Amino acid sequence: MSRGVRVDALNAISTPTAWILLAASMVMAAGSLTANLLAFEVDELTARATLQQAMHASTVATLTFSLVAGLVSATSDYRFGRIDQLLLSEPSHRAVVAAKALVGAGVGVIYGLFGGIVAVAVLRVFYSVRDVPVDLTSTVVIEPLVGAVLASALFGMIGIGMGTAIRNQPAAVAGGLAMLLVVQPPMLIGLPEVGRWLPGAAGLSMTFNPDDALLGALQGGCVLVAWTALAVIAGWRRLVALGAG
Amino acid sequence: MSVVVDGLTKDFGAFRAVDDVSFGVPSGQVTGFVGVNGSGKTTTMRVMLGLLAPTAGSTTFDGRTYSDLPHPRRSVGAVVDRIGAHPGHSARRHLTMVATSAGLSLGRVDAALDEVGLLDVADRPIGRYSMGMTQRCALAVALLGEPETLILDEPANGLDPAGIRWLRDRMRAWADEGRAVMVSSHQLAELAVVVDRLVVLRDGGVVFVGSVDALQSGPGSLEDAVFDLLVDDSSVPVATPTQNSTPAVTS
Repeated sequence: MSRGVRVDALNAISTPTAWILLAASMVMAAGSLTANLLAFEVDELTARATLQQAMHASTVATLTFSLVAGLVSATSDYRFGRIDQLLLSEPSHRAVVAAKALVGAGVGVIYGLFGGIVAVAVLRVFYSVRDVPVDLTSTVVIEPLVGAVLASALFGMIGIGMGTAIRNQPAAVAGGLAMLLVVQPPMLIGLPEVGRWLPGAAGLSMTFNPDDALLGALQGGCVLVAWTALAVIAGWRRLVALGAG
Repeated sequence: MSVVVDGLTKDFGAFRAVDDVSFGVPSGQVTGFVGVNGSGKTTTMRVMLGLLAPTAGSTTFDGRTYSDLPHPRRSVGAVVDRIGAHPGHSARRHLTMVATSAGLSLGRVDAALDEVGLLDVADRPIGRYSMGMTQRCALAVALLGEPETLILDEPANGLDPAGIRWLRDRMRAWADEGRAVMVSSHQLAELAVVVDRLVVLRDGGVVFVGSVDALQSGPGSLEDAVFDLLVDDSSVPVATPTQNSTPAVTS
């Protein structure tokens, strides 16, 4: 499986789409953070709730793009027939999916780290321009960033699992975005007892989001790990059942 | 290495694409795999290589299924219907990635590219290759592991006349080196000059397995004989393992 991880990692860094998505995620994270901060008056900027809200807006962008990167990576293997070559080299479907999931997690970590770097840079510049002091080492900044790195890794793996199961790229990306951005937010508001257990809400929980409707960070992490396992197993079983197509 | 396909069947829902197909691919010979479009050639080859799960039956390479081969790429080289590369990747990068995934020496990359005549354009993106160059790249991938068996699905697609002649010569040379070569095509004239044996598929089932001589016993050309099989299987008896020593082929 180590060979599979190496070749999938090589594929990820040598494909323009991965870099374009990473750049887009950083732009979106910076944009979300800035837009949120701009909504507050100067005297509100020192409030803990202000920083929390702004930080969580940026983590949503990171998690979303991490999921999309996984979806695009997995479905590109079918689109270009790369899955054939992977299986001809490593006939074990389980090893192929496991290698891809590990690389998806690695890509997610990179998205999380770069999103964090962008968030810290934006905060530093924004508060400096407004001449307002900010402690970038406070838990209100660090916790969401650390949580986002971990959640982003899991979202990358979910993207790989979903993409391997769905195969069709437009359907997988549209389905993933709809699940995360259209279906789950209203469920979290209207039916929180169900919505908080869904992957999007579990991911937000991991970033120490203080929303009362969400689970705690650790509980949310466990729920997201379960969703990740489900997605990866679904992808693996679908590959076993249908083959490379 | 001998290849034995035994009772291979593949259903897609209610549609049976491959129906109880049995034949052998012996070493040192070129086995042609012919049939009209949609007759099940590509599906059969993909099932043989483990890219699709069979509904029934098996394919073994010296007694092992593809997934049980200790070094699949060193045993079997394949050209499948898609090259399986990102169009932005160069041939050299694509072969490097395949070699890495298969645990092959990276020194083989340039050797394989040289063998198919792509070394000079090895760093050009595959998306900018002509169809013939793409086919040569697919052949280079198949040759990376210096395999004992070659399974080639429509390898002449897109090749120019010089390329087709080159491919014929290479297939003959590979077989003469002791390799088992299986090549599919629906262009009978192209195959007629190189194959030793033929497997003819019609509607997912085998209608002939045997030597070229056994099929071409009449006054017409091999192309005529195969065409007769494809349009009316009552004119030629269906070959059976007892007639052709298949599926238990030995090299």
